[in-house]
Amino acid sequence: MDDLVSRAIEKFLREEPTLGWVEAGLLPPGQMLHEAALRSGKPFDELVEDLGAWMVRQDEIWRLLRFCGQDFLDFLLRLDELPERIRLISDDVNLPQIALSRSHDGLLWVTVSDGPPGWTAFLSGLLRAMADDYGALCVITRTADGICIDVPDSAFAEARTFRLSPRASLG
Amino acid sequence: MTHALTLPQAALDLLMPMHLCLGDDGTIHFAGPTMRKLMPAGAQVIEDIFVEAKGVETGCVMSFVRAAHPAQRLSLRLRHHRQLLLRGHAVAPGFGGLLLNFGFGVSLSDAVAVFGLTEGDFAPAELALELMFLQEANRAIQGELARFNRHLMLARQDAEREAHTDSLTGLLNRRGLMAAMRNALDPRTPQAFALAHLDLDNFKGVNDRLGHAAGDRLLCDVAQVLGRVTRSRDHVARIGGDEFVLVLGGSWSCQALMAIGTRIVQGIEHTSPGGCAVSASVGVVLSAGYGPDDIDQMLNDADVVLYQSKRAGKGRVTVAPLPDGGLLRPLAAPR
Repeated sequence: MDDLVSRAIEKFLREEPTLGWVEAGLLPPGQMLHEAALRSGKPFDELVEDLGAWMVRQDEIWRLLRFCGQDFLDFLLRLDELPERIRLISDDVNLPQIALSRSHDGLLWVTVSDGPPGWTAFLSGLLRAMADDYGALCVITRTADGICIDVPDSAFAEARTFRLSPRASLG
Repeated sequence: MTHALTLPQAALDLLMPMHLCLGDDGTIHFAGPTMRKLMPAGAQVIEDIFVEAKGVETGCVMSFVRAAHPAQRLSLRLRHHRQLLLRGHAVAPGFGGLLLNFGFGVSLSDAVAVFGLTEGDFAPAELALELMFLQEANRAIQGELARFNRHLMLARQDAEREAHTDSLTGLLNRRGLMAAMRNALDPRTPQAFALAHLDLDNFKGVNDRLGHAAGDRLLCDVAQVLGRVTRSRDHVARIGGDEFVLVLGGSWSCQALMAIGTRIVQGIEHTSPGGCAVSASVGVVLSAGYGPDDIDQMLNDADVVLYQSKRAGKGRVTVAPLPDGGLLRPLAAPR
């Protein structure tokens, strides 16, 4: 699985011309990102956030993510299932704990624990891209305490069409 | 203690979207919303929807369903999509007739594709979406692994080719020659061949007078000459500075080998830079009598024959006689 992660990062860095190419296989995944951040002068968290958004643009990954929720709110509320879901596919991945909570002012908070640095940034990039994909208009802020999401109830635009079957569009 | 439940149909639709309620004669009373998507328009009886999954079709699905024990699994195929096998079971609801409930089992992804089903078509307790998620994840990972494997295979092939190639001339190197000889001497597929060992004459003068770049260029030209003289199934190697070895497949007469050797010597003399008088001495041995463990011996013997040519005055070809033959006869290459 580490190879797949490295390969995804390599592909991401190659497609973002400003980041420069760090070849997979030489450095562990985290180090590849640090190296790219160093070279491009981009803050590490920002780069990892871009990686999260880039993942959503990969068709196969996008489909897997869309299986995880009917709409963005559903996706958010089931986000804590994500580590278990990934363990369904492969059990040699180290994933942090993802916890959801709601503060008094009605904001949703996603907090990541037991993970290497960068997970919060990665998730916030991914969530922003998924909100966009579902057509949910919401404000996602990354703070030191976690990711804060303001989801107004009725603010939804047209979501990108997702069919359960990859073949549905053919027949 | 048992409870008798009375459920409104809407609740039944939510709990079991794939249910089917039948009269005793197989007439369809009502069906869940997902089941309705699978039913052909105007379906009246269960036979309009299903055929028996196994064995000879009797045409009477209802008697098959009635015969099944309540705990027993029912397998039925859709009449108009026979690749889709549904599984389920039937219970007697207490008001006459039968209540059936179905699931897709392993036909799930086909059914989702055929009927364009969505998340809302499945009860929350079902694992349909998880199954589809897993299937896609699995396919994506397998694709990625196949790509890895292809990549590794190509890299290995490249490495193998490089390990067997002389980088200056593109000919085989010593390792490549050994592999080719091992292959040719393999007792399971023995192939007769002639081994020609070739050493350039006066090559040092080119390096000394014209520089190493000119020397390298000449080595490449010699490689070209050797490539032209040999066939694609022969092997040509450079095993040292100006030493070359040819593996010529087939049974050869001494005359034929002399002719080939002579052509090579002439070709090399032709590429010699002006005034350097580069030529080649060649020694040839035949593979008869050598086994797979005699590679070094064979190369050694070819070397000995080569030095016969050198001693006899360079620019010559010597072919070692067969083991029962007479003495080595160095012959001057005819000009």
